[in-house]
Amino acid sequence: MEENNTRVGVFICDCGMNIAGSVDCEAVKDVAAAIPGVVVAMRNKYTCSDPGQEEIKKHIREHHLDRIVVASCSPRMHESTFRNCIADAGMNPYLLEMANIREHCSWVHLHDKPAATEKAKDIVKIAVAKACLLQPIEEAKIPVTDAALVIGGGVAGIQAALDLADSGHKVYLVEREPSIGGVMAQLDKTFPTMDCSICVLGPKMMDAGKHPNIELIAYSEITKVSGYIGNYTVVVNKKARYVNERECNSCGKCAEVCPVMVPDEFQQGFSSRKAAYIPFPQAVPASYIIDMKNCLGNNPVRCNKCVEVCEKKCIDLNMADKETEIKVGTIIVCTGMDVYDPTVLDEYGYTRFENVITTMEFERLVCGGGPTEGQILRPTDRKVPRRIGFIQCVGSRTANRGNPYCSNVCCMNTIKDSLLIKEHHPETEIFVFYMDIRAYGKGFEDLYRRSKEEGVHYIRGFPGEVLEVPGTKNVKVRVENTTTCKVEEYELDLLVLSVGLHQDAGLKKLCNLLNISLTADGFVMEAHAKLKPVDAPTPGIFFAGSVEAPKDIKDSVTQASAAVSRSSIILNSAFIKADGVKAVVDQEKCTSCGVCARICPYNAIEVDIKAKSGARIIVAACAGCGACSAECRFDAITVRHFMDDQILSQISSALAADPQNKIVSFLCNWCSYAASDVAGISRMQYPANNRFIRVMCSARVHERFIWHALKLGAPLVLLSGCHIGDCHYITANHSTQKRADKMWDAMEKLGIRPERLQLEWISAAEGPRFVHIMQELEKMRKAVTLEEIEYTRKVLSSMGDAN
Amino acid sequence: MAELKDIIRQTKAQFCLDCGKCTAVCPVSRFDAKFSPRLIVRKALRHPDKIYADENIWSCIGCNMCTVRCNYNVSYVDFIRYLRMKSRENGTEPVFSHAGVPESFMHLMAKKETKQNRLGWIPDDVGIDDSSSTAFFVGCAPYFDAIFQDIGVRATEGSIGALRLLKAAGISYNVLADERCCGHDLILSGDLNGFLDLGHANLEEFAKRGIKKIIVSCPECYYTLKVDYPRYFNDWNVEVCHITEVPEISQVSRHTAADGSVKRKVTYHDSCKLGRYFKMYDGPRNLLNSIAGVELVEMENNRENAVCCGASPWMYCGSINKQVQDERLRQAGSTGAELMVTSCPKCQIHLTCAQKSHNNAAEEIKIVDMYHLLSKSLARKEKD
Repeated sequence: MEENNTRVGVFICDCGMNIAGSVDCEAVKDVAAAIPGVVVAMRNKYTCSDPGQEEIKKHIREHHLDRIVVASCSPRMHESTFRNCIADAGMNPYLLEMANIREHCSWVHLHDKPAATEKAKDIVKIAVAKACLLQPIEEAKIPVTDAALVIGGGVAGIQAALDLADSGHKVYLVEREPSIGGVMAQLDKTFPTMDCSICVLGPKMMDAGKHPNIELIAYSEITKVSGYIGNYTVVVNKKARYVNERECNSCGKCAEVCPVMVPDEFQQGFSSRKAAYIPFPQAVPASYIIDMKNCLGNNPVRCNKCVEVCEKKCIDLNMADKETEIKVGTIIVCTGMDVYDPTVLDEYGYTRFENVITTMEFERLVCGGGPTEGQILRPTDRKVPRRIGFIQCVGSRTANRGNPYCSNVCCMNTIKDSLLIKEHHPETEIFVFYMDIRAYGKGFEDLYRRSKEEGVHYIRGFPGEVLEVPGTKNVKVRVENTTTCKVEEYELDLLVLSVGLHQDAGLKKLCNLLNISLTADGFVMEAHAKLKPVDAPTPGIFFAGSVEAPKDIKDSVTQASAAVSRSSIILNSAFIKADGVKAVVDQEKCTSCGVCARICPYNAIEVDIKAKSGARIIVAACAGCGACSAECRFDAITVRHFMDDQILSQISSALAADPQNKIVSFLCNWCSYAASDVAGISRMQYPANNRFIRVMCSARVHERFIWHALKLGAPLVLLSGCHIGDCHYITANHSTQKRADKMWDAMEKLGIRPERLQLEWISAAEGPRFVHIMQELEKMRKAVTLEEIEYTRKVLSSMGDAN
Repeated sequence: MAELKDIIRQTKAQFCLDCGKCTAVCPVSRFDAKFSPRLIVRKALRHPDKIYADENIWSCIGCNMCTVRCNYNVSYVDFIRYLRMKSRENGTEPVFSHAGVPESFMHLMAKKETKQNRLGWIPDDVGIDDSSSTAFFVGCAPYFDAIFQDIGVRATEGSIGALRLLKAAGISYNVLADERCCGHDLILSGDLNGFLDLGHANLEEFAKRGIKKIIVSCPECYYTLKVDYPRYFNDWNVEVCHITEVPEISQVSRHTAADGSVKRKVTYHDSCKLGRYFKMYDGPRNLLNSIAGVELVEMENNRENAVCCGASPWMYCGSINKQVQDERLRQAGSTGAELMVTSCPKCQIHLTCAQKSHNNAAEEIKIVDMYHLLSKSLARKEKD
């Protein structure tokens, strides 16, 4: 070992009281200073601050340090900060190792300072063990494709596409529906300024449709995504529109002759459209479309009327879907959200009573471009309703049929609607049944005040059920006015359910294609909730709009511009540096067996088995998961920065003292490690006996690592990664599963209880589940006897290095 | 007994959003302006010292409508049940109805030395198997027959019907000579010790007879055995199943369908326990529909929205309860049905009682037990 030649500096962060509050940092420092190879160990109040970083640089120079350990927060938080810091001081950035004594220690053992301190000492020792063996890595330079894909053409997608295009980048704007515009195109007015929605959106839609840098691909869906930051290849399926959208001049003759009438989805079913139709007058592309599900042309006796009447001959009923491949450097996901369907809340009678409608339906009723041309008429008798009620939070803030979160826009939307009604018919009596009015934004409280000035009644309490009055078809609600504690009854001409927002139905599928995760709320998860709110954890992918959380138009637009700014950083550079974590083949050991090439989820390994060419890694394509390395029977592949000797040394260090009390856990960087961070940030408490080893993917964990831990007396080993189907490396965790199966068989044969290797899939959002697993593991650890541990040690030692 | 803070957590009372949905749907609040599930929780959270003396805690009829509608599924009934226990611990004596007779019977049954003649009502044709490890749990029907003779309710008719259905289905079962009341009404009225005494006596009897599985028809017995027994008795390991869940029973009913014996328009009254607590809405309806000639019509409020029969434990029965019952009878009457079918002997008693106590528009409708009706169609088939 070269340990003695290394000159390690250990920098322990108090993080104010965040770490020092529950860890005795002075004691940790003393232990660190005594580790062989450590030249200097010191404490800092905030290591990430300027003075903290200067201190590191100063010590690198003064003590000629060649490895740095920073014991502070999660590497997911500040690894890049400290890598840059030591690079400034002339060191290779990969000679840094972080010891996570905050999320993994001080925050999760708040009430047991001695145990937390012992664990922190171990965490630092484990980090030093790895640091001593770290190797410098030169990052490869990868060219960037100067083009971006924007998925979703709602207001966020349109804004993102325009901003990118205006700054000179090529943009592919892919929209699922026949026209861009999204939900905003369906709204009448917008809060808090009461602008006409389509009047402000329409021009932007047109700009996006004709911008020379934007290629609008409407009525299309993403079917395949491959590649990596700077170099994504995306397959787009352009669904057959049956109308040549470039040729169509929207004369509308096809619709005139079309004999098929179906409910018009844009008008929320309040009016009908033909099977040959244009979604709405301002649609972009301004082209008709044939709805083939309802078109008679699909029947044996073809109708063909539209084809005959089209002067420009742009209708082709035999048109087929077409797949195209595009290459982009970055992807911005703007797929928006869906509106909650209140059918399941039967007590509100949405499907039983015609005069109970949703806010989306109300938007069409009140809109000049709507089925009533802007007259507010109730569905049953097309009369002007004189008493209108709104029930807030329908499908929001509930654990009972609906979503647990606040949907963010519904309060202001109702306030806006109340003013619109008052504008149309000032004498209308309006009752808003609410729980809390959340008017937190710029100009929002003012709008709320205006609504109250206009005499809108705000009644604090939710009706429990809605009844229809026979004859008049009015609806009746009973509500406890919780400010007076009196039950009141209201008879209303029209009742509007202020429905919440939730995940778009197609989002899960898209997430699988893009390798991004969802939070418990069903919206996409950001790389960092505070500091990288528009970045996906996968580099080169960004979010904007309601796909990230329910939000209003202004916030969606703001976020779109933010995502463009983040995206431009990549697109503006000719090259980006590839992450240094890559597989490397030792040609002397490689037998060209081809196992690695078969297992690689990225097809990043080339090998000619017959010619015995030796395996070759395509550096740009290798994502660094390490599945190949763990699978190679000849030890011919290793992964830079996660080398076998580094990980084995971490295990040895973790189990150096009292191994019977320690659980060795391998956490994958993207899911289970992220979940452990969530547990830390949320201050969820769990037993302090676990020692974590971070790997990029659970598939990197070689059988040898597990045997090594068991041989050194670990009572329990946890192997954990992303859920199957959610693996950050596509399918790499399938080999984790196979390896665990193999291990369990082998353990059983050796007389070692297979339960001592646990396999858990934990998503990045599952902090509570992570904690639950930690608690369960501790129970299991206690059940492992010293005799069992001793027996295991003997059996495995007698087998020498065979394992 | 548990601490208030534990109960708050268990019942999720701390999640109350103060939205008032519970009050808006509460059948008691509808007629009693002072009562609000929300306010009981609110007062308990703010002034726990005063809540035990609050007379409103005795008004809840345990129908569970509040919880079904609550955004956070706060278990108001469990919460109030706990407050009643504490209140009685502090010396409050609730006002029992029917001169306290039902309650006295329950306490008599809780005494170990009480000798019961529990099986006298059982006709010879039902075939009890003493050696079976499955027991049919009768509940208080024989006692109800004695107490409510004056209003003409024969609760054992329903029990006999259930036994005949079991026999026709080819199920072997025992009926226990020393079964006791399940304790539902005692625990709901805050008498935890009374409940525990009954439970222990039942557990002993089940063990003595080697009972592994219980089939039960009374919805409240079903709830108590299924939910409260595992909660309060650690060694409870008997499988509990409601008679409508027994697959063979539905086979029998389909068999009776051919004879076309009962030609009647009926409406089904969901008991709160079977309905809102267990969401067993379709089972009873399917059984009724399987009787040929029966036309099932629904009341204005049905299934999850069904109105409670107006009273649960035998206490504080007054004008508020009567108004709830009248509302339910009015709904039944306006369906035009000849029969109002109940699956719970207590629904039958409470609704019949309301019907007898004063004239109302719905008096025409006959209230009948579901198992009795099912077995009658069965009997005619067998005669053919």
